[in-house]
Amino acid sequence: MKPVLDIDFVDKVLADFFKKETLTNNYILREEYANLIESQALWYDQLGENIFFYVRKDGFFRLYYFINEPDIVYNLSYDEPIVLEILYRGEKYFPTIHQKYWSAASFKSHLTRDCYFLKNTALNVEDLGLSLEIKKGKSLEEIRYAKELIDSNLDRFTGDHLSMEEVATFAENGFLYLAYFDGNPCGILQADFKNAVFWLGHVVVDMNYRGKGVANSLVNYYLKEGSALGCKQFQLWVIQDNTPAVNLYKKFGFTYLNKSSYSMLKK
Amino acid sequence: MEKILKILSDVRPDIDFESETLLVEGGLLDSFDIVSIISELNDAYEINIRVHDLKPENFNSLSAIQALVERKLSEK
Repeated sequence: MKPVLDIDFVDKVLADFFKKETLTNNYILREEYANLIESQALWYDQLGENIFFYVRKDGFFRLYYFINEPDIVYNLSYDEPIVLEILYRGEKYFPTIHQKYWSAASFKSHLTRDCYFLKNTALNVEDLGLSLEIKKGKSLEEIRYAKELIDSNLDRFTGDHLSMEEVATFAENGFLYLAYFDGNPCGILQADFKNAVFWLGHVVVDMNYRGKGVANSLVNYYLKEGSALGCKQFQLWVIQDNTPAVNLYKKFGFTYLNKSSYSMLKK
Repeated sequence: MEKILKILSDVRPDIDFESETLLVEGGLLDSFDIVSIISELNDAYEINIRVHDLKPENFNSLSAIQALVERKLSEK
């Protein structure tokens, strides 16, 4: 693996290795590549006509690939886990060929996530009730609580893991909500407002308070907030086989956005 | 126009392509959506939209996308 030192190299790879038939999971924008190079987080490897970009994450690598010779199996081996994520547009587009290639390279299926959306105009705010007390998280204690819940419950390879600073920034912007049960914090929801879309980033309920409608109240609160902020629509990613979560979102009127993400992992 | 509109709506059923004029710069389409749209347009019209065509101004509106397709058809 070698470091990528300038954006010209990325441009050359995109021009020479990204063809119509290329197997790729690359959807990184040029400016994002430039940022990764600047922070010395981008590496590459080459095997024949196949090129692989590695993005350094906290304790693992994220892999992006341009495969033009699928018969050449890439038997990579590193000390740290490697994850790759493939976006696809619904079941009929499931990336079977990608899956086959990476299975041969000893990657295992990890998670499949689906993107859902709900138009603000389809929402009736009057119908949204809260059975629990929900507050915006602001204090260091609340930020720490949220960070701990996220760390101990969410997948660290694919779930856009949040640093303490990022959680603090969401809290500062008013996008971190905490649910309370008998005065005790019992769950969190982190949102984000981007381009008129109010994203539901993470929702986690404390193990000891599950089955008490905590997630329901948090999502209610999030929808009310987004509506008050004047967002055009709500969006979220959810793990496909997390049936209780999928059913909860569907109950609120969320529908599938023709976008899924399949990840594979090599430890 | 109808054919392009159908392709776009299949990729992003939540977007009103007939009224939006800042699809990319307004953040409505992300890079995955654009790559999906390119792939569908290339197949449907047997054209070759390449990476260097991936500029926001080519994908900001239905009419800009139509103009791109027409340019590519004329280059065939």
